[in-house]
Amino acid sequence: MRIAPQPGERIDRRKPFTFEYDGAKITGFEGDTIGSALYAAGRRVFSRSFKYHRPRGLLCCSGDCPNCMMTVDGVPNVRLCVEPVRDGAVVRAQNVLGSLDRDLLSITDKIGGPFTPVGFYYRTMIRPRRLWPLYEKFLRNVAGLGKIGENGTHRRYDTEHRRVDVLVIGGGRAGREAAARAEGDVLLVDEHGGGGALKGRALGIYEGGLVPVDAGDVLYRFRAERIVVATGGIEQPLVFPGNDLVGVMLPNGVRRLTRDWSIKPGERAVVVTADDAGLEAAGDLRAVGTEVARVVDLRSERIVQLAAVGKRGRLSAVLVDGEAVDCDVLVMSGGRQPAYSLLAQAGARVEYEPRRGIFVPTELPENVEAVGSAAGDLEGAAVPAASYDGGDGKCFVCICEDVTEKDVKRALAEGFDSIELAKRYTTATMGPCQGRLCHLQSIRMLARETETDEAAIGTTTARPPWGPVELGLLAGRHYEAMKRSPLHFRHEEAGATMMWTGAWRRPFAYGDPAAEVRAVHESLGVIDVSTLGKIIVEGPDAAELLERLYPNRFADLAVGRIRYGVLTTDGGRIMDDGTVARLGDDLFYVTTTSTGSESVCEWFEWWNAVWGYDAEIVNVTGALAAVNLAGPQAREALGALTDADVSNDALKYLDAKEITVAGVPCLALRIGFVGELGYELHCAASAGEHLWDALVARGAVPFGLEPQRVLRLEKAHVIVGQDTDSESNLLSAGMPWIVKEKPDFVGKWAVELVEERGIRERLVGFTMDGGLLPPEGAQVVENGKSTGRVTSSRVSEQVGKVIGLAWVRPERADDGTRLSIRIAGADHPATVTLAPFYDAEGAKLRS
Amino acid sequence: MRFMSHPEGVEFASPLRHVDGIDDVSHLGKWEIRGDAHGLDGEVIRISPDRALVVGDRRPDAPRVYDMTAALAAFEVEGEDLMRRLTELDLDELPAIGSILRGTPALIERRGGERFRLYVPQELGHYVAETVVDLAKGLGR
Ligand code: FES
Repeated sequence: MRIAPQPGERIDRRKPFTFEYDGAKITGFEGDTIGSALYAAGRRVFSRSFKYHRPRGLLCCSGDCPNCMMTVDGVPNVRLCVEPVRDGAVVRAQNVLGSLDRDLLSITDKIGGPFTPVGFYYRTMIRPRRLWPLYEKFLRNVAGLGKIGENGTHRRYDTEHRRVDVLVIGGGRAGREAAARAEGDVLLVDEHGGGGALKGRALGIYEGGLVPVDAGDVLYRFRAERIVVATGGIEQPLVFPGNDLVGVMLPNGVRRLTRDWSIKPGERAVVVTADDAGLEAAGDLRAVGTEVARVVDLRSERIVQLAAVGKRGRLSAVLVDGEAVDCDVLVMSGGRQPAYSLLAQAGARVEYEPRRGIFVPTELPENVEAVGSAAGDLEGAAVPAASYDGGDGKCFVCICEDVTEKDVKRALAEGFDSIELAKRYTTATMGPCQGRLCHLQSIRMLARETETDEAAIGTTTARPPWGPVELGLLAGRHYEAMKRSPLHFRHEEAGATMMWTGAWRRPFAYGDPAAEVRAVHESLGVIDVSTLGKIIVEGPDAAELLERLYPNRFADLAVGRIRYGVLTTDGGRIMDDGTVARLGDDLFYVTTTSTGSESVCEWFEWWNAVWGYDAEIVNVTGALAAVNLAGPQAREALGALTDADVSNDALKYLDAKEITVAGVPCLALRIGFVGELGYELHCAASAGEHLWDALVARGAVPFGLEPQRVLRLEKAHVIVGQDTDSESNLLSAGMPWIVKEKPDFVGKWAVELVEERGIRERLVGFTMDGGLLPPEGAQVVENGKSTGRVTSSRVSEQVGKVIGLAWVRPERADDGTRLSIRIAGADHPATVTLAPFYDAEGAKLRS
Repeated sequence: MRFMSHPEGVEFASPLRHVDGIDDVSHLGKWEIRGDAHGLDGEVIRISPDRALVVGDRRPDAPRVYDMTAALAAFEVEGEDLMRRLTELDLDELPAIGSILRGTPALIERRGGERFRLYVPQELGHYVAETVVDLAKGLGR
């Protein structure tokens, strides 16, 4: 089919490329598209239509229609006529059962079927309801275009943000001229690239001059001061029976096949045209040796009858006013229509011009300009009829969605007579071409059938994107911001199992969690707690600020001492917890939960501003590494690494002191989240590894979050967010002791209200009578009814029992109350235990 | 608050130490100033009327200074094209604080020509640097 080399051809015959199409090897040349190479190799059927599964072939060769979409390298809906050939590409037909030539689903074309009538979406397969699962299965199988691989495609998508003074969309003559004229930083984009243009499709024009451009692997987000739309005109099809047969083409299809790719489209052709484009196509056809049997120029010849007939979906003859002409190519040209969609989206009005039979954009937004064909600057063309008849073949108004003239008439008869309604009911214009080849035709037909004019019908709302775009591109790269502690790599090196906690990755355990628990109880453990939120509050009003933020006292906290604090909202709900250390008269060091630092900071800043206090609030979470050294040998190990006096008198329980450990200045906080003697050491993040290494070298066994959870549960320490939720208050969470008598604090009123009304549930500790571990979330049941839930549960070797925390009714919250906890459908006895399970007096912590 | 500062005689463990192909300048001294930052020595990046970041080895002489040397990872990259894949910030209006990689906070400044310096929270430093190296690969570098 490839003819002798032509002057001006776009292919380089010395550079072959081979790809695979449905198992066969196909070769094309540089400059070919996959579509042209397949055509040159004799392929004529490129797709099967959406509803009827009719064979379809190359129509526009401009990337405007749905006819050549296939799956290339796993990416569905690639338009082959504009997809450059490349070695090794794997090309597959889609929307077929069997093969393109023998598609079993094409039976719907002959006998009809559930999809045949217009509006099938809305009324078919609804009843009987119980059959829906079956319907759904069937519909899912046959609906949609193309299939995405099970795991999606693993391509990289990037997003690039650019600012330009002028963005010109469309690289045709008008666009290039506009770009040359424009001043400042000018950028030209064009769907096909070339001539210095960026290759990509503008998807829409948004507020603020934002224009996303789909460039395949990159989504450019342009911000332009001025936008020039030079998207050109779109060749329009004619509406007549058989207008979708393989072999029916638009002039540009012929132009590209013949001139760019030196392919002879067929043996014998007929041309029916409303403008010069068809005549030029006739010339192109003759030049490559295709006989042009008949040319109908609608500007000078009035015809009433036009129909294409075919065999097995392929064109075999054209009927013009009773005269039959055998042919395998039919060039149809209904004139060109301005490609105004982007302009309409940007807010332009679109007006019908009856004389030329086209819609022209007017009243453009201030920052948008239209030039060339897109602005309506088009050569004269005849206005074709809304449809021609002459046969009983299907007469398509919209080929993407397989909407025929009959469908439009039926929709009208059912009352869907406005263009927006008819569009939704028939789905005309809603397919891959986004109205490029069917919008005008739908309007024209509605106008004729309702005996009004096109202007009265109006256009449908233009919405982005202007053309199909991969969701992956819009979503962009998958960013998964991972926070790493300064000690992160030490954990990895030690082979820790890592887990997500919020945005942080933290060690779950380094090996056996039970062994790590034992190490803390019996000798010495160390855990990375760098993720704790850390906030410095400094200034003359710092003490006053904290005093009013927390329900307990801080103004009277002595320098060098620490107190536990719980923050509550105005409504008295528990927000976050942590420790507050006073480092100076005006200087406090506050820790928060790992996920709470930012919200607590904002909370502090907000009240600081509201109350007009003079205090600086500095989030130093990332500045510092922190570790908790815990176990009976903690003092001894610490003492060996510091010159400071760390005796129980010099560094008491709840003391805070700056000391140097292994050459690293640290803030040592003697607190205990786990139940053994322990020190939290905070130091510059960049020195964290050094400190960690020294502690490990002294025999501290690294322990992860899981052992820590066991250890803290033994102490019945609450984890905010796990044991409490957004409804929990201090009284129900069993912390009434924290609420102190004072004039005001955030949430005071709400706490008093709860006091007055009583609580509805209460958080308590429990031990299981047996050895079964209830899952977190397990129900507490009374008489078969759920009246509470387990929030934490673990097996404690130390306690020798299964222990946990649970919410129960206040009536069931007394020490020793018997509970039933449902595990896997059966109820198991448990006992309420209000004191900590381990070292209830806290002697170990103070020792 | 000596514990906020990196001690002498201890190796500075940069948050970017495990990322290849990045120009790491995390060790530079970084000081957060609260209050008036006028007349301070060193490179002063103003963040708001009463907040500024001073970059330099010497602790600035101001009433409220916090050592943020270890808190911020810092690195430099070359190329506006790469920056445009990182952020929507106007590269002609730097220094500025904004979002990079869709949601990570960063302070960006231009170091002359097409060279840029980014400061990010150290806990996100490794992730950011790794991603930037990969984005540069997408540009053929
Ligand atoms: S023939 Fe490829 S899009 Fe029309």
